[in-house]
Amino acid sequence: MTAQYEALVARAKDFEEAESSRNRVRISVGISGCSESVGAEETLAKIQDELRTRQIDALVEVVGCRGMCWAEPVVDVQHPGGPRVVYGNVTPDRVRELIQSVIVKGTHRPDLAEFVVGSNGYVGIPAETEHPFFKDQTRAIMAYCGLHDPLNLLQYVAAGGFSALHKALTTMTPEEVIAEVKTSSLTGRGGAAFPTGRKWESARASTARPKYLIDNGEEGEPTIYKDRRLYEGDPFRIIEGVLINAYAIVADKGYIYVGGEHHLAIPRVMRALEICREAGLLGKNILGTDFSFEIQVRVGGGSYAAGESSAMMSSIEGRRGMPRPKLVRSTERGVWAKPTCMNNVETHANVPGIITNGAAWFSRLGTDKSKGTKIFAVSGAVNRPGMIEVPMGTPLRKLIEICGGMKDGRPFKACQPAGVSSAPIAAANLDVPMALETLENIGALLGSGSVVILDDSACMVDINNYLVNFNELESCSRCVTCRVGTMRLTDILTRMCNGQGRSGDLQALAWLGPLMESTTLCGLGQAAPVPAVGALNIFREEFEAHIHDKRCPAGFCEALAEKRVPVGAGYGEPR
Amino acid sequence: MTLPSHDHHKPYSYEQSDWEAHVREICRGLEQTDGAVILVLHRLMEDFGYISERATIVAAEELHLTAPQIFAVATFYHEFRVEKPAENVLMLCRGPACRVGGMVGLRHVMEASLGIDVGERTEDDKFAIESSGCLGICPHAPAMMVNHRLAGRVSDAALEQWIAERLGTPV
Repeated sequence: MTAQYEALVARAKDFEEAESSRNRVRISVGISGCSESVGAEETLAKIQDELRTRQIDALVEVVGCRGMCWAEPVVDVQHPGGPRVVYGNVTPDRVRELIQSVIVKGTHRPDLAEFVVGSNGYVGIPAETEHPFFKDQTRAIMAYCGLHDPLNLLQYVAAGGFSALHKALTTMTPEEVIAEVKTSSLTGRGGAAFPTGRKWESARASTARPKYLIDNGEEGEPTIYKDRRLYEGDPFRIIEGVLINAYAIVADKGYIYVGGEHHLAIPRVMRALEICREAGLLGKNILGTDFSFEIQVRVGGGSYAAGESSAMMSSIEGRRGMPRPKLVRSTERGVWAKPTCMNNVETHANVPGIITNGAAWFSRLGTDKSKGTKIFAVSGAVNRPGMIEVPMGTPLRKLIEICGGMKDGRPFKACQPAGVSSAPIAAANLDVPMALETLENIGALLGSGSVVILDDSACMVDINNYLVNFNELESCSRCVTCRVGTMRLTDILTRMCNGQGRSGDLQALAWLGPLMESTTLCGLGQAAPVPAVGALNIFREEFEAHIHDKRCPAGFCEALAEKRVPVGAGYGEPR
Repeated sequence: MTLPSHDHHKPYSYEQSDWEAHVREICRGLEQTDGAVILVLHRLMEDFGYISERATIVAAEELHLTAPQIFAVATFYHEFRVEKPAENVLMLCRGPACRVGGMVGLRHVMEASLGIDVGERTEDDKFAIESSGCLGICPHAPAMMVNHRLAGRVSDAALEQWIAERLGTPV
């Protein structure tokens, strides 16, 4: 053990001891980009206000997002020596009641509480391990999200944080680190699912200097929000993963690229990096070893295309985020024309666990080809939308069950996975295991793990009109077939939604799909027509009803509804 | 659901006499950073609310680029504006979860109370309705971004009242 790491662990131990002998109540408020939008900041302010007026001495801390978005704002209360009880839906107007009946009286309210953290219930409040939302989840990367103060380094170290980095730096060679990651079969979590170990291997083989490393957190894709929540909830885990990656490939400089619209993730990551720098976990001679590394934050500007690996490199160089031809792999010639290794945030978050517990621990979960756990961002027509972490290969039906089943008991119509890049999953495939190979077999994609559940009130023509329009607006316009193709697709689908569909439209749609797939440069253009073509195969009748009967079976398209809306207010997408 | 109670004010304005000095200061602060253009543009957005043509020219001088190069970057990313925004910007999320979660109702409220469509602004520049591909708070559908603040689970009634308060009409 290096002296520096020993000192850090000792400090963490002191912190933990002080924490366990604490004799005041601890109140943890979940503040993240999602909970902020439903008033968590106001809840926090109100709690501090109430405590001040009642002169109660309490520890109030900010934690990240636990993934239970349906219950936000979430507030945890822990009396000295007691269990940590989680209260959901603590809107500002309910703070007074909570303070009065829980904090002042020193008890808990089973009628208001959601669950108790850990495996033991308390006075009729169920334990986390029995809660329907958590009992089937396996939390490895999200273990501390919503539980820890994201900017408390000692709390992270006390829970075993940075032990993986220390282990790698002091007991493993870079080759051994790569071998471990390779054996674990970890694949990229950003969508393309490239084997991480192989990427690192080829990045290590590049000899040109300097060598760069990028943590890709642009996340401009619709319906996915896992990366920003990881940044907000547990930034140290990502930094640790990035550092291990840097050590393995012998990188010189790292960038953490955060999407520009992730307004809470940016300052938290920046602050976490500062804290690491102060603690000797970043900069020269990390943890007292020969390993030195520097990480800078780069901020995106809200562009889906810039999340593509070669486009992100242009963006970091301060240019338009347009994909470039990959004649040479980026591990040989990437950002600033130097070797670059880029991984997704969730991929990096997996690395510390693999190093600490070994490749076998990681690959014990999952299917034959997809190993480990995966975060799914589930939204749409379910009762408990949020972010869940389950083993790869968990059936879609199980995902819906974890999320509380279909909203209002309405029938399941389709699931739109992988943002804007995949064909929908039909009701007949509800039992499909959510893994790379099984989804590919039914013509869908796992992508980055977004899952939108649609019930019978959703119109597939309208949803696809949105998807192609999104691609049109986000197209970097470099390839003609992408720029014009997405325009034509939007035209066709908008016309259908407005009741002006023509008989040749479906043929045109089916023809454009393969054309765009074969003639565009990057994955985004190739994937742009995929959802619409896939939906056409599954929901052909619905498309035909729009064209021939001028009828929207789901009753969603306003121009086709019985109660007509004024001309001009039709369902055409705003430009 | 909470809609922001205070309107968004920017610390600087291009009408101030020292605006140019401030733009130069921002650029010089990021001189040592590689590929600083996007970071400079973010700072301009934060301080001024948009990126004016003259600011583009000044920034180009400082960053040793041409004004078109900077304009090209500013118009590529959705976060950046090259025109002065309306006083109140109501951004509607068009994502799939919001579509099935109440987006249409919110659009009707805005269009009815302001008399403009999505993508337009009122003649007095007081309100603009914009739309976003996805605001990333899908579990809290329907979502909006009102004056740069995310608002989830927005109800028709709350939005109607919020607009009415700013229009000065009785609810």
